Parts: sequence; structure tokens; C-alpha cells
Amino acid sequence: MTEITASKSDEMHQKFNRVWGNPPGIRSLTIVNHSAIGLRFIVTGLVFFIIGGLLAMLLRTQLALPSQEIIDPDTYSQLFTMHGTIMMFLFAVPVLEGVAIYLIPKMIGARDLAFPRLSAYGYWCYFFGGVILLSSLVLGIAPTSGWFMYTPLSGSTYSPGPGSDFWLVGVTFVEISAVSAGIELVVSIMRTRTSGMALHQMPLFAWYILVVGLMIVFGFPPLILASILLEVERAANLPFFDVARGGDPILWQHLFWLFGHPEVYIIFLPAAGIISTILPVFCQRPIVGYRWVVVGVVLTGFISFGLWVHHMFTVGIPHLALAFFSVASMLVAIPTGIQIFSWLATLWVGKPVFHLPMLWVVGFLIIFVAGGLTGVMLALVPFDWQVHDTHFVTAHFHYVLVGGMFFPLMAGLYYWLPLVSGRMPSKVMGRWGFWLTFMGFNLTFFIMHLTGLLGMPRRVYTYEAGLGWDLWNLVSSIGGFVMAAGVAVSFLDIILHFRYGRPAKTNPWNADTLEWATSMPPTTYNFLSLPDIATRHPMWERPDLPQTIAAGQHRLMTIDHGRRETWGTDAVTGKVREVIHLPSNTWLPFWASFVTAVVCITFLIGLYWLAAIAAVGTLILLFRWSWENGAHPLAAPEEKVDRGATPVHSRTHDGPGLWGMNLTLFANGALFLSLVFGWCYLWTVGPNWQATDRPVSGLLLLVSGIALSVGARWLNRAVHRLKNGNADHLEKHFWTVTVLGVLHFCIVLWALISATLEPTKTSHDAVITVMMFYVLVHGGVAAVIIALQATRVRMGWVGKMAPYEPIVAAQWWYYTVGVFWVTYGAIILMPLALGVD
Amino acid sequence: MGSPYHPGHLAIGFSVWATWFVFLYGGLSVGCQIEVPAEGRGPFTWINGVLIIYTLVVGVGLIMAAEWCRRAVKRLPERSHPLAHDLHGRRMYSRYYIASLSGWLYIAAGISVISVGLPLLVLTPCV
Repeated sequence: MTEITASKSDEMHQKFNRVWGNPPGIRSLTIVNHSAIGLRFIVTGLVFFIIGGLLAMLLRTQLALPSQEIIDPDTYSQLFTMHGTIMMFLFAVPVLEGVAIYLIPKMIGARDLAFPRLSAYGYWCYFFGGVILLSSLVLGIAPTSGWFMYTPLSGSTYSPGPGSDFWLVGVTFVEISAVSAGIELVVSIMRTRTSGMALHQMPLFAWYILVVGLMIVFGFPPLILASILLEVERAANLPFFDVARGGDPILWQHLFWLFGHPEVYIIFLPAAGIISTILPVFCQRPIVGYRWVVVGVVLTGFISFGLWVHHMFTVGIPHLALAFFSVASMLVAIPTGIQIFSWLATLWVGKPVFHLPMLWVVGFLIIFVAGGLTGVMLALVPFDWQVHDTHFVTAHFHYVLVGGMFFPLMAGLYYWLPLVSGRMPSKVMGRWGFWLTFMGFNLTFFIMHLTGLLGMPRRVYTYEAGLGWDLWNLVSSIGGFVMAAGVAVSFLDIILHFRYGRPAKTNPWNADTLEWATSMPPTTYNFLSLPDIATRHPMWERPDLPQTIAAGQHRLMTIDHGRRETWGTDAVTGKVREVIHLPSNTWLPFWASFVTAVVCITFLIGLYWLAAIAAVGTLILLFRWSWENGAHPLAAPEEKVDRGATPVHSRTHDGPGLWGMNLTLFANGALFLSLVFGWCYLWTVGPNWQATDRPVSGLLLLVSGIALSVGARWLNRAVHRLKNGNADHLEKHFWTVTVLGVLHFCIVLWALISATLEPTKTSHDAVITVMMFYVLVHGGVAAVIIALQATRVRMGWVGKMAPYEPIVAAQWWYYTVGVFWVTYGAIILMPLALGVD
Repeated sequence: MGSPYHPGHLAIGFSVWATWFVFLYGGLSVGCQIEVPAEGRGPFTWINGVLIIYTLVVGVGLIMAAEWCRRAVKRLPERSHPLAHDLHGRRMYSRYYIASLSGWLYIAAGISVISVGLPLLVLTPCV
């Protein structure tokens, strides 16, 4: 530990600010810092929430009385579709990601997330995707098929306008943002914790976000794939969901809910993480059953992937299969129950103080438990058949989502407000906001259970008088407006507190976690010096941490080299392994996402040639991004590394980029396996599946696969030698691998061009076409990646002293080999084995 | 992964469960394509039989993995305190923590396999 004087400390803060500071004005678009990006996610998400809430008010206005004509049926359909879409895709997930992006580095004692440029890219993808989606509403051409866009309703026959296209393109854009945030958070939690923070000493919130990040990585790709397939079907007439040509609309439902059900828990778990963080603070004792809560979170994460068919109980699946999913749906209540009992036990044995955040916590407990119970009712197949597509289901999922996400979010916002602003919220307005929201919510949605049981279907724009629904709908609508007033009061309170809130003292709630050891509001680098932490409750055991950290009494204080740095630690023990060198502010993420938005918009308006140019532009920008890495002069202003000092990650074999690449490939693999699932599904149960006779040359594919595999083996040997300190002829090896990659690419392209595929006639050929394109793109990228590495060797940025990048790049090759041979097995060997001629 | 103290075991149990689940659901569909059992046989069909054996093998395997983790926990020389400040103490507790957590997750995965497979004992496939 080094101790420095106060003036020296101020000087250090100024030096850190020069390296870590956020630029003003237009250059603020270049900011990559996690605090700024996290806040942008939160504020943008809340703006979308207000828009989605206004749409809900319009819906409730229309339904308040029978036979109203305020809104026409088509507009009503647009409103409920956009309400659900905004709330699920533009509010719930992004705002919680924003909270995690803002808090996680502070909680685990890091200066930033592992991939700051990815954070910024994710935000801009979200922003542009959201704007694209909302523009359809402003133009009056919003989608009308409901937030889950069931086919064939969302297909070109029944939804010929551009509404579905806006949804598919916009949501895919937003999903890219979510996946990038998921990867970023998982790697950061695993590899950037401060020295000594072992896995079992992580704050519970970090456990929750770790599980959620992994769920995003595996859960979102099925919908990305489904959206691509449906958009390709609409734009290019490839029939994936058209029964007449061998497709099946039920495939959409499978792919959607493979994403959709985990999505519910992706929303719930971070919110539960907020509860598990706040509740012990206001009970002033550690949570009861830390380890059981971790077990519960991991269990929930996994089991949530085995429930998707419970959204499809009425589509005619064999009842034995329904029973599997019914049991799994009931099982998931157990880990949720573990968490609830842990919270109740903490309340029981602690001394709870009901400050404002705790009101929202209690509101959450009441509403979420009620929603969970109706969820168990819906897991029973016969009951589900009775109330399917009624207001009962609408009421249930609002109890789960508003109770399970919005209430904890508000608790979290109020809890962490002093950290963000340095000021306390108003007690009076805050309580008014809570009670109005709580009462209004229950008035709206408890009543909806009754209208649902009385038979009122969801998504009807009006109803006749005298069906027994009139009074209940009026009460529901009044409740909706009361709730809206509550939300407005709370938001007003939050806005006003930035000016009128009384200044907060250090650690105002006497919390235990490390984020409260930063200044209030935090600096861009969070901690001037990084402390050793070997406890779950650092602020309770060492309340002087804010002072000792700001005084520079801990480690990693070097800043003269001009690099942004944080610790890279062992995933399990938290032992320091390397110094992670983080990138500075850059325009690249903004322009990369902007040009991707150009791809989407030009695609939507039918300028396909411009879309293709923009897509190439996006690729070039992304490769430029990868170029400014490691030992590149723009990435490393000062290359000097002290002998014997902890190495910079680019000089090691296992930096965060390797973890990031592997997680990206997991996400990519989830997308690819969803495609293979679609192939097997249509082959097995597609009503009109028509297999054609060997439309692609197996011999050509075999030769291309051999070239690819030889290249991967060659690369593997070169990388292995490099890891052992032998960089002889490295550039030549990489060029040889590149040539093999180009050969593979050209042969696959040849196989595709010479194939007798008729992708618009049968879904068999359509799926093969998509698989071939998938393999082609991956082969092409693999060749370019290694060509860039060969060039970097020549520039002196990769070699014996910096062996890290080829290790990361090699993972792409191994993955490409894997997916190639699976594709070969699926489209060449499987038909041979099944004797299809 | 050969060591019960490896953090990968936190995910393996339920990854097995997830894979088992996919093959259970897919296997049922494929079985029904191959040959629909005769009516009136209830759950006493070749499809149920194969899937019950498959379920038992996976379920028992997961419970054995849990037992393996329990033994690994018992083998540790001492249970260090979770807040140990020295490196050795921290490492020992990390081992204890991961092996015991993995053990519970293996048990939970085993129970989940058996529970979800229970309908095979009473329901007819392919209807």
C-alpha cells in the first residue's frame, strides 16, 4: 500500500481525469465510459417507458366504456403491438442492462467494463433500433400482429404493409445491443473484479447479472434467427413458415418462445438482484442464505429455458410433451420460492427500516407473489386452455412483469439516486408516487383477472354492452390513470431532486457494497486506487474505504503512460493476473452502429443495393475497430511495461478478449443451433416437407471443408508455437492459412452458385440456402481475420512479446470448422442416411 | 473439468438437464414419426420405455455427480472461513464453495430430470 499526501492525491485525480475524462459537446458521442453509457441506457429506456405508458393509456381509454369509437381497429392493433414491443424490447431489458452497466464495475471494484467500445456500440444500436421502431408508429405504419408477431398473421399475405418489417429489423437491431451488453457484463464480472474478490465474495447483484448475461447470450439468438428468417420470407419469398411450400408457422412460435420465456426471467432476475441488494441494507444484516440464493438464481436461469412450450399449450402439441413442459413450469417456482423465502427470512431476523426504496420492495413482494401464483395456475394445461388469450393472461403477466421488474427498478432508482446525484429524494412526493402506483396498478390489473374469467378476450378494440364486462373495464381504466399519475409523480420527484434534493452524506443508507466507496457522483474512473477486497460486505467492515481509495492508499495508481487500466483477475479466486488495458473514447462505435442503421433503413425502403454497400461499410468499420487494438499506437499511447510488473493483457495468453470471443461464439452457436433445430423440426413435423435430390454438390463441399480444416490445423500449430515463445515465420504461416481460407470461401461460393437450389419453391431448399450463406460468411470473415493478423505481424504489433491476438482470432477458425461440418452433416450426410433421393 | 473444484461444474449439471430435455422432446417427436404405438396401450409403449430408460440413466448420472462433489467437499482438509484473508484460506474456501454449490446444483438437476420425466409413467405418447 502506498500513502500519498492530499495535494499529491489532487494531482493524481487531475491526471486520471485527463486520461479518463468525458469530452463535451458533439464529441460526447465518442464516450465509451460505462457510467455515461449506463445512464444513457437508463434515461433512454425511461423515455421509451413513458411512450409505451402513453400508448397503454390510449388503450384503456378506448376500453373504458363499451362500443366506443375513439380509436379504429387498425390503430388499436398498432397501439397494443407497439405497447408490448416498447415495454419488452425498448424498456425492460435495456433499462436493466443500463443499471447493470452503471453499477457492476463499481460493485466489483473495477474502473470500467472489459469492452468499453462494445458498451457504446450496444447503446447506439439500441438507440437507432428504437428510433426505427418508433418511426413506424409516427408514420402510422406500425406493426399490428402483436408483440410476438405470430406467423402467418405477420407474414406478407396477411400483413402486406411495412409494419412487420419495421418490427423485425428494429427488434433485431435492439437484440444485437442486448447480446453485446450480455457478453460485456459476463466477461467483466468474471475477469475484472478487484484483487481478492473471490467468486463466493461477489455481491449477489453480480451473481444475478452473471446469470442474466449468460441467459442473454443463449436466449436472444433464436429470436434474431427467427426475425431474419421471417424478414427473408417477406422480402425474398423464401418459405420458412409457409405450409404450402413445406414450412410451418409453429416453427416461428418455437423460435420466438425459445427466446421469449427466458426473456421473462432476463427481466425478472436483475430486478430480483436489486431486491437482494437493497433488502439486507435496510434490514442492516447480511442476506439469509447467500449460497441458497445463488443456487436459486442459477436454477432459475437454466429451468427458464425448458418452459417455452407453455406459451403454446393450445396449438395442438401431443399431451405427453405438454406434460413435460407443465412440470418444468411448476419446477421453476421452486428457485423463485427459495429467493422469496430468503428475502422474508432476512426481513424476519433483521430490523427493517421502511425508507422509500423499501416501500417499492414490499410492493414488489406482494404483487410478484400474486403474479407467481397465477403463473402456477396457468402452468396447469386444462386451466390454460380455458383462459388462453383472455384478459386473465394479460393480468397475470402484468403482475409478473410490473411487479417483478418495475417495482424493483423503482426501488433501485431511489436507492442509488444519491450515488448518481449526490442528493436525497423527497420523502413526501416519493411516497405519494408509490401509493398511487401501487393502488392504481392493483385496481387495473386485479380487475382484469375477473374480466378474463368472465371471458373477455385480449386484443379486442371494443366490446358490446351487457356482457358483464362494462363496470370492470371502467374500474380498470380508472386504475390505469391512477397508476399513470403515480408514475408521473415519482418521475417528477426524481427530476426535481437533482435540483432541490438535500445533499447526501457518504454512504447514506449504510450499505455494504463497494459502489458506495466511490465519490458521489462517481468519477469516470470510479476508484483512484483499487483496494484488495476479501469480504462480501466491504463497506460494513471497512467504512473508511471511500477515504483511503480517494487518497490513493491502494494499488494500480500509475497513469503517466496515458493508458486506461483496471485489474484482470482470476475468475474464481480473484487473484490479480494481468492489467487490462482499456480503450479510450472513439467515434468507431457510433459510426459502426450508424452505418448499420443505414443498412436497416435502406433495406426497409427497398434500396437493396445501398443496403449492401452500407453492410460492407459496417464490416470495414468493425475491422477498423479490431485494428486499433493491442500494441497499435492509437490503442497504446505508451508501450513501455516495467520489468517484473503485472503484465498488460495483450502480453498474456488469456485476456478478456478471449473470453469475449468465446462468448460471442456461444451466442453465434445458439443462433446456428436454432437454425439446425428449424431444419430438423421442419424435416420431422413440417406438414408438407419436400426434400429434393442432392441440390448441392457434396464433393465440392467436402473439398472446401478439407481446405478449411487444414487451415485451422495449421493455425493451431502456429498459435501453439507462438504461445511457447517461437514466432519464427509467423507471418508466412498466417498468409498460408489465409490462402486456405480464401480457397474454402471460393469453393463454397462455387458450390452455392452451381447448386440446383430453388429456395423460393420449398422450405427444404430455403433452409439449405441460409445454411450455405452462413458457412460462406463465416469462411470469408475467417480469412480476413487471419490476413489482418499477418499484416499486424509485419507491423510489429503481434509477435513473441504480444501473442494474444492470434489466440483470440483462432477461436473463430475453430468455430467455423465446427459449424461447417455440422452443416455438411445436416445437408449432405443426413439425407443420405435417411435414404432421401 | 476433471476436478470437482472447477467452476465449470456450476453449469454442467443443468446443461445436461437442458440437453436431456431437448432430446426428450425431440425423441418423442421422432419416435411418433417412426411408429405410432397401437391405441389402448396407455403408457406401456416402446416410446415410453426408451424415454424412461434414457431419463433414469441421465437422472442417476446427475445424482452420482452430486455424490462425487459431496465426497470432494469431505476430502478438503478443513473448511476455511468464507472471509479468510490469507491466500491459502481463500483458495480453500473457493474450492469448498464451488464443490458444494456444484453438488447442490447436480442434485437439483437430477431431481428436475426425474420430475419432468414422471409423466412418462402415466401418459400415452403421440396423442
